[in-house]
Amino acid sequence: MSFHTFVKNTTISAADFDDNYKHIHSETVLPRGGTSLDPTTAVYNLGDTSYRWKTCYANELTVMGEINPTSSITLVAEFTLTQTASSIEIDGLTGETDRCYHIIVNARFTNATGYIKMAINHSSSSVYYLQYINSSLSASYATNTYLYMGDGYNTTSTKHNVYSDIYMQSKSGIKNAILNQIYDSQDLYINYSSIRGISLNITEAISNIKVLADTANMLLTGCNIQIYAMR
Amino acid sequence: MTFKYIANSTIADYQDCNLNFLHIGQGNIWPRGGTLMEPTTDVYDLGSSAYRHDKVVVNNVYCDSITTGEGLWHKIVDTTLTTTSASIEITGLTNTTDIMIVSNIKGNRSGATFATFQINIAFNNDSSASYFEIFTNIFSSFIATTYYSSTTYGRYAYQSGPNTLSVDYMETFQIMQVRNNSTHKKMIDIKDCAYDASYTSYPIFLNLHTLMYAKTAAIYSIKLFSNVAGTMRTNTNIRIYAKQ
Repeated sequence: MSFHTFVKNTTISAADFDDNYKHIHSETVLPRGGTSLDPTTAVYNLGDTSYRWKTCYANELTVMGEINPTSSITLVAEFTLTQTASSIEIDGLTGETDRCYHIIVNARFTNATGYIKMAINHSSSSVYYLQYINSSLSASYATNTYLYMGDGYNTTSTKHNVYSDIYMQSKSGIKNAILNQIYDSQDLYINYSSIRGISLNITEAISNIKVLADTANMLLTGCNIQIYAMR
Repeated sequence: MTFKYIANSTIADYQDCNLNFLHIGQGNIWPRGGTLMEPTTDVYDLGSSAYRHDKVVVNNVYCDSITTGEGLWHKIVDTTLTTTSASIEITGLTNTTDIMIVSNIKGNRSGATFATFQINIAFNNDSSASYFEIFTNIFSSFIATTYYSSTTYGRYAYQSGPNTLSVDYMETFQIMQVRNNSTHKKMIDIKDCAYDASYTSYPIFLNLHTLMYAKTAAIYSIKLFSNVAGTMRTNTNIRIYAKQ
């Protein structure tokens, strides 16, 4: 069915009149615009901040952007390496409004030794961390410009995987605390590390996160990082 | 454009008919009601439980709450202290699915130099039916791993040791995950970090990781409270997310 525009001094067909109603609200309801009510995409809204629907009932909700960013845990960034690289960098984070990030890093890198690490806000020297590291292997306390994210320790292995599960405060004006759990596997070995850290930069909210390998390593294809905002 | 009411036994203007269709079908689709199709808010639904849309495909969703079959973590509590307090109790919880708490607890002990600062957590008003078995692993050189059985509360935020820090400057950051289940014991994982929030003192860390289970059927209240002289300072924030 199509939309009929009525013309002056012509007789309106009852069928055309009925069609117009069906065009608008029968079967699948699409966002429409223009005088012919043609379908559009990502232009018009369902409801408005002043005119809200009360409840929406549906079997399935597909959202291309964000769901309810004021009150849900929302995936705000995800990146997967399609080729070997020395780092993954994610820009454009809004730590001031996001308040806290849950960051999941699933990385695999080339060498048996060496480590991967995370820096925030372009690795500025003013953005250094203090961190207490306790792992299956050792405990240490360090001041660094990066957050430790996994270490190779088994020289008989050729590659290893790191799964890092991080909760990180992200606002300005406070020391942002970090809770990091790391599972580092190499063939027959698993190393578990528990890290508590603090970013000493209190002037900047987090806007940038970079995961990088040490100079002897590269991140392999398939390395994945997901960032969820916990507002 | 406004909606034109077409009256009985009158000649309808062709343009009014056209505009009426555009009024309801063009651009943003708003909830409308009344004889003049005026926009309304929080009154009408899109679909109903009996007549559901199959798929909603949109760019962004803004709303107060979302109820799904499962899988969405939705914030149900966001509370910030405006005065110092020895306890915070969150009641009225009805959700029986998994929950997650994100908190930033700020210590205050009236200017005292360092001593133990401890905030505990209890469910359901400390009832005996809610007691815990607790395994606490504290990654620190000066506090040993401990195990507690049949206690009515768990350790939530903690700092102690041979330091000289004023607890006025102490802050803690926690993530607590509760694996909820109406018939089984609730598995609880608390990760805690305590640090010096002052900008000149040397930070300290306590790497606290608590695993525990609660013998309670449903969580309907959560209470955080001090068991020593310390209190929670202004701007202490607690957020609770429920998996819905």
